[in-house]
Amino acid sequence: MRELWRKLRTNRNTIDEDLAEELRFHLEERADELEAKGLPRPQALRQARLELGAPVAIREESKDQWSLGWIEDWYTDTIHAARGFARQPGFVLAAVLSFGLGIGVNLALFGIASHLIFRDPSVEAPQNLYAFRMAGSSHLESNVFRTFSESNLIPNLTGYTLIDDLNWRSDKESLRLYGIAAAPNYFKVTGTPVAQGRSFIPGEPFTTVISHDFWCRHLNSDPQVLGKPLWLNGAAHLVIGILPSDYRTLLGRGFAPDMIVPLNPTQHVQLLARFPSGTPRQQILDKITASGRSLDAAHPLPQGSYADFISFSSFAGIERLQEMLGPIGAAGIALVGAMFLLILFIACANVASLLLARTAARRQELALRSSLGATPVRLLRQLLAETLLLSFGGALAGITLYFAFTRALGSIALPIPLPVHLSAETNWTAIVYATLLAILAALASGLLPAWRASRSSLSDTLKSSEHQVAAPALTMRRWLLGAQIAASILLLSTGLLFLRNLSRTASLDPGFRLDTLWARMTLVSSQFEKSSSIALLVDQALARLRSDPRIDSAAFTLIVPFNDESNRRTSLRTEASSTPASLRFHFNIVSSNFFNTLGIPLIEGRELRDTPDDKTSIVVSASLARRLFGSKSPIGRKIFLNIGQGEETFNIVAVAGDTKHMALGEEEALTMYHPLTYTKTWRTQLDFMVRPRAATAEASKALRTTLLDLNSSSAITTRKLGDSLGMAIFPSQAGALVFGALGLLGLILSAVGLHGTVAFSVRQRSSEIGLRMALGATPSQVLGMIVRENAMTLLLGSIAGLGLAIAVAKPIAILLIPGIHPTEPSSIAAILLGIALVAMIAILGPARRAMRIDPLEALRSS
Amino acid sequence: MGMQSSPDLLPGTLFLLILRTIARGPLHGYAIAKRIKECSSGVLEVEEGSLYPALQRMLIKGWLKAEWGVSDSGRRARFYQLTAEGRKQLAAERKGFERMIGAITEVLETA
Repeated sequence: MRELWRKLRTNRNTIDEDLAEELRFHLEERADELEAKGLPRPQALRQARLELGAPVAIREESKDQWSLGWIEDWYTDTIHAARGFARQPGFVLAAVLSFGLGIGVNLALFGIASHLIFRDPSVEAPQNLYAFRMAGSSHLESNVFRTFSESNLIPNLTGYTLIDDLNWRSDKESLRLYGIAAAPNYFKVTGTPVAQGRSFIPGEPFTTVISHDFWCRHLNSDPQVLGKPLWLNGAAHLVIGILPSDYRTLLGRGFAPDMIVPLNPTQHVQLLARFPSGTPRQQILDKITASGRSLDAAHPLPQGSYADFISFSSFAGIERLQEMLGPIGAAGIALVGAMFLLILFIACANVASLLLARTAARRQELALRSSLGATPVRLLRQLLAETLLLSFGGALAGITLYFAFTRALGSIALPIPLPVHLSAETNWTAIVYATLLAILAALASGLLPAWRASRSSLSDTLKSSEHQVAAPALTMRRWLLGAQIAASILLLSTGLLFLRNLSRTASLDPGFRLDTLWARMTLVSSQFEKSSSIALLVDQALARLRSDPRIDSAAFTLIVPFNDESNRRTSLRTEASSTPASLRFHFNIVSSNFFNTLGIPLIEGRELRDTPDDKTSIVVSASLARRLFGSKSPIGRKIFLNIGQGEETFNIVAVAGDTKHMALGEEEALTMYHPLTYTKTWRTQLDFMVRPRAATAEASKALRTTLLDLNSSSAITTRKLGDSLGMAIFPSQAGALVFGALGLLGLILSAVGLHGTVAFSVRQRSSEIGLRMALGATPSQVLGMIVRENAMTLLLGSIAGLGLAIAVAKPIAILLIPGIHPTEPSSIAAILLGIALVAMIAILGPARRAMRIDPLEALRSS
Repeated sequence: MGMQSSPDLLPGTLFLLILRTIARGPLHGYAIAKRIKECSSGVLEVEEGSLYPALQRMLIKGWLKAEWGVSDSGRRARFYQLTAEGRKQLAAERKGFERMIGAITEVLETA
């Protein structure tokens, strides 16, 4: 180690000069001595020189002592390679761009995935922080949680919950925010950092720690914000802190809440606890179980015990990923990662192909070097150094692409109703990953050509003609080309799969009109302690909306399709059956005019009424009616539901058309609608639906101002019902976009590879083609020959690619509408046609060159 | 290169000889070769082709220090000097060498 340091510290330029001077001195001294013995000066010098031998050899050997071994060899190899490349800018550009695209695309995926999935949350020592479930539930009721935390059964216990109906009223408007409600010790137990200000202290229910993004976007990065109040749910909350800009929640997945507020006494709480480092799992389990028993004593469950169905997992590494993704998610991510690596593979195949051509053209140089004593290992090293130089150039290009991409990413708004922040990390891990990819790419693309080239001996090269040497290189290039085509088809076909899914999804009828306007009104809960006052507000709102000339009809709904879950499993029976059956169906509570407003057809019967006399009326969907009564009309029939407190009787007054609820691909649409008067407790989140008479923008304004007029401190968001399909079609959109883009990229790269291969083969075989033409082959026959030769490669590659695509389609089928398969003839035809077209364009140039070969010229030169 | 036949140096002894030669004081390369030849009554002749690479090797190992100075003849010359580490190395090599010679002599006399 010290030797290496001494070598590095010494100025390498002076070593040689010093040695030269030292040897000159040696010569002169010896000559002096000989002169003293009586020889004349010139003869003395000659004699001294003879004795010394070759000074150059001595200098070389002395200098070699300072060599740094492989580092220096690699350095000289690289310099040598760079000189060679300087003469071939076209080749370098093609290789660096191929590598750059391959590496850049993978870096982008890595960046996004590490932000959304892989990075640990912003807490201290996540390996000691556990989320846990008791009695199979991830949340505890607030009073149970209070008992739990006051009991000190688990010392570092805290809790939080996600809230999606935080109403913020600023000077200009009111907005609905997403947040985290956290126990006072949440920051302390989790170790969540605060960038400015401080975190919660017990006994401060009206404080908030805001996100960096919220501070920048909504508060103009006000430097004086600390200590100022925000009106949240009708109460002034003091801003006491700002979260760091790179804050990652415990939830992961890029979820970006606007702020953290103190838990209020009605919220259910997700349990968290920190255990001392190295606590055995059994001990943790015992502790939670013991706590569960104590909780049972204070808050007995109707059935079971808090000590049942306990599970827990920490927030670090694999454990967190397992909890977050599950096996299906992990498989999906592995699949996407593999698809992205395919692009790098296609790029590597391109470069390998280029390198094969280059080494075939350089075989004289290589043979000469090998006959001068360079060992195969030495040549292999030289060729690998060249590839490595190219791949590092590619990595630089890839990193540049990645930075451009990262900048663009921040401005993308995802079409989903959740605050998810897309961002890619730009830190050293990305650079390390790029370096790893570059080395991998260099080995993948350089090893084979280099190995072949390093083994070509001088005698072989001299004995064989150009054609014979090139033949194996050409075969290898065809294999690479076939693999490239297969990979491109796999990507294209997957992209097409999502695209077809998207178009099918978009054309699916959700069963209601997508141009319906929807307003979500979030009330300040402290203003509405009596539930009846909310009912009154709804009545007033509906009356005012219905009298507005810009609005055709208006209705209230409890459940907004594609936004709210509404599953209910209830035991149910009809008059015909005395034994109740358990049935899973969607339910909703709607006002009068609901079906008219959303454009859901009433097949039979009438709308529900808002008057108390209609309290026990229900409307069933056509599929539910069929399920319960077959083909007979259900109007006027009774059904009996058991919802906890005994059987209740309901009268069916109408049958409505089927609608979709959460996904457009879903099959069953069993739905039961109750009237407004069925409502037992009112929530502070109200949803109004409106059929506009005027233009959308105007009607939307009318909707907004009417509601604000009624309650000026509420937060209101309005949009078209169609916009909330975002969540339903987002996977298809993203899949179509990403895989479509990857497929096109792969296709372009493959086209470049095809072009290179054909051009290479035409050049190598110009004398053969010339001979054929001299023997009477027409240009079109030559063209036919070239097309035939490559068509086989393309066809085999395509078949392999389609086979792979079918295999890959299985795991992603859960994201697709049933009935969409990769084997549909029209999409296979489209892909093959696309490949053929691109192949034709790629072949065109070299083929024209082949057809113009002058037989005489070609034969003379061979 | 000498006309008279001189025995090959035992392997590894060149470093020892050089270290011992400059132990008394700094010398330049030419003087080192000359001193070794003189001290061995002309039997041991160090070739320049081995001497200079060996000097470089010892510089890298940190046993020697090199400084440019002026020779007796008034020319610029590079003088080599032992470092503390070189002195330790000399002692170690000398011990090893004496043990080996002792062993060889023992074999020659008793076998």
